[in-house]
Amino acid sequence: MSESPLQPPASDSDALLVQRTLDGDPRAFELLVIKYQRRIQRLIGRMVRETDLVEDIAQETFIKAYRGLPQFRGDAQFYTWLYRIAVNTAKKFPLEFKRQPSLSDKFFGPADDGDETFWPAGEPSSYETPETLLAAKQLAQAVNAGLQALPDDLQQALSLREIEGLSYEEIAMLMDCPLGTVRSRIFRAREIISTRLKPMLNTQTGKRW
Amino acid sequence: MQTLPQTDEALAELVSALADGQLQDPELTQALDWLSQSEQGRQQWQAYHVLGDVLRGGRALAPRAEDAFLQRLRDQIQRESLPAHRPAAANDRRFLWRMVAGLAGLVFVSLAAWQVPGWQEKFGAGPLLAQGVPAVPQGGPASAPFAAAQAPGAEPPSMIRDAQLDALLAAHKQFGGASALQGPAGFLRSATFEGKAP
Repeated sequence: MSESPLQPPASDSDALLVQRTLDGDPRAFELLVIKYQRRIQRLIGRMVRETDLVEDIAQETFIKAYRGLPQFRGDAQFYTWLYRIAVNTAKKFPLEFKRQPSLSDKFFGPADDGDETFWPAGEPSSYETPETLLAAKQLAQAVNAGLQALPDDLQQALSLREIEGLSYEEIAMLMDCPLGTVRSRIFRAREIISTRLKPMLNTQTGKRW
Repeated sequence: MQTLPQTDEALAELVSALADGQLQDPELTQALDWLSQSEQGRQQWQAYHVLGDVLRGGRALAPRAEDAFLQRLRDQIQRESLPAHRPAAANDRRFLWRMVAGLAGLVFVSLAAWQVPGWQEKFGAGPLLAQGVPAVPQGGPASAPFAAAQAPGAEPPSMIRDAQLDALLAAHKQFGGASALQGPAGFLRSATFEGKAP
C-alpha cells in the first residue's frame, strides 16, 4: 500500500463522471445512477404516496437528467441539479391525477423540501412493499453486523468517514496516521462488509448501456 | 513518479477513494477507466454506496429493485436512442433536416433581397418616369432640366403632373428647392418646383 502525501480534497468526481458521459461513455452515467438512485427514490417516496409512481418518476428523473446533461453547466453540484429535476418531475408527472382533488391526496403526501437523505425514523414509505422492506432490512442487518465485526481501527476509520462525514485529512489527524493509511483502512473495511453484501446485491453482470 | 496500481485489489482501493471524492489524477482517470470497463468495479461501486447509505441511517432499497431499476433505465435509454451528447453526423436525420431548413431559409432571404430593388424600381421611382400620359406641355419649365439630360435625338419622356400640385408648388416655391438627396430616391416621394431662378 503506497503512502501518499497529504493532498487537498479532490475535485468533484460527479463532474468528471458527467464529463465522461458527455464524451460518449454512457457507463459513466450508470455510475451516477447507482450512486444516487436510492436518494432520489427516497426523495420521491416522500413526495408521492403511490408505490408504482415512485419508480416511474425516478426513471423519468434520470432520463431527463440524461437528456439534459449537455445543459448541465456545473454551477451547482450534480446532485443539487438532479434533486431539482426529481422535484419538478414528481410535481408534474401525475398531473392528470393532481387535477382531480379526490385523487390528489392519494398520490401526494405533504410537501417537504427538507433533507431527503435520511428516512424519518418509524415512517415507512408507502412505495415499499413487504418484500422490499424485508430485503432492505436484511441488507441493513448485514451492513451493521459487518461493521461490528471489524477490527477497531477499520471500524473507526469507516465510521468517521461514513457516519461523521470527515475528510481523509481530518481522519488522519484524529487517528494520528498517514493519509494513505486512512485510505487503506476505509477500503479494507468496505471490502470486508461488501463480502457480506455482494451475495445479496445480486447484480446483473455483463449488461451494458 | 507515481506508480499506478495494476491489481484488482489496488484498483478497488481507488474506487473506494473515488466514492469519497478523494482521488486526483492520474489515479482518478485510472479509476474511472476501470469502472467504465469492469463489471467487478461497477459492483464494488454499488456495494460501497449501498453500504454508505445504510451506515448514514438511510434504509437500503431492495437489491433486486435496484438492479431492475437500472436495467429498465438502460433499456429506455437504448430504446429511445438517447444521446447525452452526440456530434452531428452527416447521415444523422435530424442534422439533415436542420441543413434543409437552413438552406431553405437562405434561399428565401436571397429571393427577398433580390426582389426588393426590383420592387423599388417598379413602384418607387416609376411614376416619375411613366410615359404616355402627357399632362404638362413638353418643353415647359418643369420638364426642362430633365429634358436636357436626355440623349440627343431621344424622345423626351413626359411626366405625370398634377395641375393643382403645380399651382401649389408655384405659389410656395420659397419652401421648395432642389432635392437634398441630389438624385432619385425610390423610397421617398418628394415634389419640388423647379422653376426659373428669379
